[in-house]
Amino acid sequence: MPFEPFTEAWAQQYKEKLNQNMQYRQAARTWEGPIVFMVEKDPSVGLEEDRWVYLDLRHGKCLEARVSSKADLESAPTVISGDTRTWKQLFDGRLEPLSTLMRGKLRLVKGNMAELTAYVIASQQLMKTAMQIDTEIPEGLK
Amino acid sequence: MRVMQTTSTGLDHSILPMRLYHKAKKLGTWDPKDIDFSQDKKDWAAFNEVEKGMSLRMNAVFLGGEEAVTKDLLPLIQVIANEGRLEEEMYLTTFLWEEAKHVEVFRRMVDELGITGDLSIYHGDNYKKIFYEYLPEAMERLTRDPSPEAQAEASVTYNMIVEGMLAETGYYSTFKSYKRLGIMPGTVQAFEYLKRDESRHICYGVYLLSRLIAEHDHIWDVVNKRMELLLEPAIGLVNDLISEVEELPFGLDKNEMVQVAVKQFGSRMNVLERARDQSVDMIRQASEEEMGEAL
Repeated sequence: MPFEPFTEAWAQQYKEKLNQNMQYRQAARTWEGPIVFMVEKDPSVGLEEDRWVYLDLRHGKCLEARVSSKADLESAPTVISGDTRTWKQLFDGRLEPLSTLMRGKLRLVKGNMAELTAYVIASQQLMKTAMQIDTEIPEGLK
Repeated sequence: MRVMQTTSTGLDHSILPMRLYHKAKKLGTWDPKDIDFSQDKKDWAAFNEVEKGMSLRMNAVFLGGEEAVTKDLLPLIQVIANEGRLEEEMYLTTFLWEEAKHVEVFRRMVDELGITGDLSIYHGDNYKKIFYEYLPEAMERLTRDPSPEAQAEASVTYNMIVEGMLAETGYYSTFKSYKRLGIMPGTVQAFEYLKRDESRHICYGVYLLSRLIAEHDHIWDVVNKRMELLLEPAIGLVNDLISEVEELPFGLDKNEMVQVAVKQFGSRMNVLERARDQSVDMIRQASEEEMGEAL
């Protein structure tokens, strides 16, 4: 069953898949700290507000994943954001996650690129795992 | 029967590779033997252990890298020559000659400073993945597979990652820090020449990839996939270099080095993406600045 991106059910799928990803677990074994992935509002496809998923990451495991509050957004040290078109291209496999981040199409709106790239394999696997979720793209973008 | 371009239609001096060729004749003629490293030798002797360590690691990376790109370029030149692209081949003759001089100047630096021993001990796993495996494999593949896909993978590896991301980031950082501190004047002089040469090389690489993308739309996907494969060891290599010590010497800034690498990668990918909507003629006539030549 496909999941609408950045919803509670999608976040739970993300957590489950991330915890099954052994490459991620190995590469992120010293990673401590939450990260937020955000999709920016796009009324043309019915997305009236920004939506974001908060992942609590620790030592290669995802302890919690949720569609989160403003407080989560403010407290997370790393926030990566993109517009609906970029996320769709990523979910469709037409963009590659790491190069999309480095090109600034996915924007690091909060956090430190040097720290993130110190975990380059973990970062790559983190994003690739999101791409593996059976994701239902909003109708307006199809 | 073979057709001689110069006796029939002549040379097209307006296209980008030919303009790079003319620039190389003027700007690429510096002689590594003319650089005076006498003050560098004194500066090096005064370096503390952390400074010497960083300098050695950088030299080992640059020296091995320049040797690798000199050894590995020939198959690309052969492919371009076989396709009858005489102007591009003419530019590539300067390219290879310049790479040979880069090998010479880095070896001279090491010799003049009195550094002995096997510097390959500083080549870590990420370095070996790129310079011992991905680069020679991609370039050697061209000897049996001259397809646009193989050319694109070779050029991404050689021009975008090895030269465009790794060499440029390293040269920029080392040059800037030495220059700011007023030390290692011979090395600074060498880096001025190196950066100028590399800028033309990368410009040609962006041109080549843009032409391939304009000729075959699916090459954009080939480029993207190859970039994603190489970004992981490339970023890993940058991190290996800057993570060896808590605080980098010479006023080097870890975040700035990563930002330089990211910026170079991003701007060149944007140029390549634009090529999807451009004609081959537009790309052949593009300015050096449009193709990312900095100098």
